Amino acid sequence: MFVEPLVHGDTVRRLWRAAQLSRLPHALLFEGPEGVGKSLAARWFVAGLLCAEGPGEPCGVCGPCKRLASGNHPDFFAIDPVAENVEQIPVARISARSKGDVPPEGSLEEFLGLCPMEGSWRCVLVRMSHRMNTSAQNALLKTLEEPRPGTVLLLETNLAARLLPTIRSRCIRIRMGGLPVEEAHAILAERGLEAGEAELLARWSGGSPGRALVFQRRGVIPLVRTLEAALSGKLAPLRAAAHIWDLEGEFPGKTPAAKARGRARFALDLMLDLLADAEKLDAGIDPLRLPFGEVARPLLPRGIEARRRTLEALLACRSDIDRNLAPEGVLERSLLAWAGAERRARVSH
Amino acid sequence: MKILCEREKLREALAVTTSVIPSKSTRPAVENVSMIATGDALELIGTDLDVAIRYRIEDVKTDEPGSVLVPARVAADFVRDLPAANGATVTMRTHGDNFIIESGEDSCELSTIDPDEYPDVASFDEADSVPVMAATFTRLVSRTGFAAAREAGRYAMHGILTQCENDELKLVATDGRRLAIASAALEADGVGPLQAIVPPKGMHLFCKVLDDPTERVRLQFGDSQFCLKTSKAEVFARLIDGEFPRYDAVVPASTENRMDADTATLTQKLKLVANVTSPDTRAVRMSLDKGQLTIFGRSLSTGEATAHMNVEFEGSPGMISFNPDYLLDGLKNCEGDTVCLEFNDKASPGKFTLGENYVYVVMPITVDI
Repeated sequence: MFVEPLVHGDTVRRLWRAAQLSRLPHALLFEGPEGVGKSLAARWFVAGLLCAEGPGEPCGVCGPCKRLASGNHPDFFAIDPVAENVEQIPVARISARSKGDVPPEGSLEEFLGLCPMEGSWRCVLVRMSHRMNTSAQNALLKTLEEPRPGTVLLLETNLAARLLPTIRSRCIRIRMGGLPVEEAHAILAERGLEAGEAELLARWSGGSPGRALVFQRRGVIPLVRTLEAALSGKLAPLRAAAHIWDLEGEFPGKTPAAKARGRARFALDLMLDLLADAEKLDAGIDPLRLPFGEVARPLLPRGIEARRRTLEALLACRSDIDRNLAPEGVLERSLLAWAGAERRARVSH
Repeated sequence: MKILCEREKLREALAVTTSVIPSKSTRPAVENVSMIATGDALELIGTDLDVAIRYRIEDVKTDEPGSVLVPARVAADFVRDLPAANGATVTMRTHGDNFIIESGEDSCELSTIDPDEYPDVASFDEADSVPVMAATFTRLVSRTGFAAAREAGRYAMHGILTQCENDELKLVATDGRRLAIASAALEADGVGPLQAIVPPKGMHLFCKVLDDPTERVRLQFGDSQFCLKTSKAEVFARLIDGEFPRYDAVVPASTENRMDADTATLTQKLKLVANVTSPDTRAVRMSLDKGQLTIFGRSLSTGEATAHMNVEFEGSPGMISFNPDYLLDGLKNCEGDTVCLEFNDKASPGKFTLGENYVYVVMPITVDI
C-alpha cells in the first residue's frame, strides 16, 4: 500500500516527530534530482500524517490509510501534472478566482476553503511544482504565507530554481539526494532489468531509479553508444544522426512531431551531460563520482576554444528545439558542431 | 448483510440520499451510497464531501447486520423502477463482493467496494445540540441566504454565520455590499455562545429535508461541521474555514433620517424605475422630502424614469442611491406591510428593517445619477 522510500525514511520520520510536537512547518519543499523518490516520500509522509494512529508510520489498514491509497481521502488534495498529462499547472488549479475553465478536480483554494472533514490535518501535494506557470505560482503565494491551522502544503520539484524566489523562501526546503548506485542497481534489478543494463543505468542516472527507468524506456544505452561513436570520430556525424532516429525508444508527446522533438531534446541533454562529465574529469574529479565517468573522457574536444565552441553550439541547439525548429536538422547540427570542433582542434594541434 | 424493508421507504431514502451524491467525482468512492444495517434500522449515507446526509429507515427486518458500499445512481434507479406488482417489500443482501436487491421475481446484482474507502461521515451528538422549530430555521435561512457572496475567492463571506448567544439563534450573511441579519428566540435557555460559518449549499440541503414546519429539529455546532437532525435524517455541512467579517460596526447605531413606506408600493415603484437602468449603471436615487419619496433612475443608452409615492418621513430632506436589485432581494423577504429605511447621509449605509428581528443593511452607491 505505502512503501517506505529508500534512504528518505529518516527524513520523513523527523517530519512526523515535528508534527507530534506541533512544530511541523506549514510549507515544505521536497527538492532533489528527478526519480529519487521525492513524490513517494511525500505520499508516505502524508499517509503517516493522516493515519488514524499518526503522526507516524502509516499502518495501511485503518480507514484513512485505505482511503488515501484508493484516492478517496477527503482531506488530501493532489495536483499531479504527470497523472493529469499536462505540461503546465494552470492558475485555475490553484485559485478559484482565475478566469480560466474550472477544472473538474477543483482548485487548491476551494479545497482549503472548508474545514477538514475527518481529522485535524489537511494536506496538499503539488507534484513537479516547477510546472506551475507564473500566475499559478503568484496565486499560491498568499496561501503559502498564511494557511489556516492544520494545513500542510508539500511542493515537490527537481528544478527548484524555476520556482519564484518568494515561493522558495516561504518553504522549508527538504533536500533529497540520489541513492547509492548499489541501491539503485538493486531496485532496477527488482524491476526485472538485466544485471549489466541495471548497473549501467543506475550509474548513468546518478543513483536515481526513476530516471534510470526513463532512460531504459528511451533506449539510452544504444543512444549513448551511438553518440560515443560519432563524437570520437568512429562514425560520421550525419550517419549517427540518421541512426538515432532508427533507435527504439518511447518519448513523450501526443503527435509524431512532439515525439521527435522529445527525442532530439533528450539526445541533446545527454550530449550536454557527457560534455559536463568530460570537463569535470579533465578538472580532476574522480570518475566514480560522475554518472558517465570514463565513458565521457575520450569525448572532450581538445583545446579551450574547441570546448567553448562545442558548448555554445549545443546550448544554441537546445534552445532551437524549444523554439520548435525541425528536430532532425538541430540534431545533425549539434553532432556536426561537436565532431567539427574536435576535428579542427586535431588539425591545429 | 441481509435485510428486508418496505419498497416505498427505501425508494424515498435513496432519492433523498442520492440528491447529494455527485454522479461524477474525482474521488470514486463518493459516487456510492453507504448502507449500514443495524438492529431494526437501515442507515443510508451519501456525501459530496461538502455536505453529507444520514437517512434512517426504521422498522426493517435485519437478518444479518453489516455495511456495504454500492453504486448510488444504479441502486436508486433500480428501486425507483421496481413495479408495484412485485409487492411492498425489497430484500437486500450481500453475496461475496456483490450486493443483490430483490423484489418479487426481479433482482439486480451490484458490485461493491470496501466500505473503509468511504469518507468518515460524523454522527450527530445529542449532548450539546440546540433545539429549534423547523419553520424558524428555514425562515432565518431564507431571510439571509440571498445576501451571501457568490464571487469566487471571498471564502468567509461565502457562508452564513450561524450564532447562538443570548438565548437567540442569529444568522448573518454578507457579500461586502449588503448585510442581512435575522434572529429568533431559542426555546432553551443558557445556550452558547456557539458559532459556525455554514456554506449556503449546506443550508439549502437543511431546508430541503425539513418537510414538516412544526417539527422540532436539533442543531449541533461542531469544530469542523454543522449538523441538523430531524426525525428521519441527520444532515452535515462542512464549515467554511475562515473568519467572518466584523459586521456589527456596519449596522448604523443611530440615524438622523427615517422613512416608513408601504412594502408593496415601494417594491412596485422600485421595479418600475429599475427597468430603465442598465447593468453598467444599476442604481436608483431615492429623494425624500416632506412625506414624499421620489425614485429616479437613468441610463445613458435607454433614458430615465421617475416614480413618486407617499411615505412617512422624519429627518431633513436628502437623497441616497442604491442598487435596486439589492433592495428588491430584501423586500422579497419582508413579511410586514411597511418597511423602514434609516440612514444618515448619502454616503452612509442604509438600514432597512424588514420585520421583527430582521435587519438588512445596504451600502449606498455614491456616484451621481
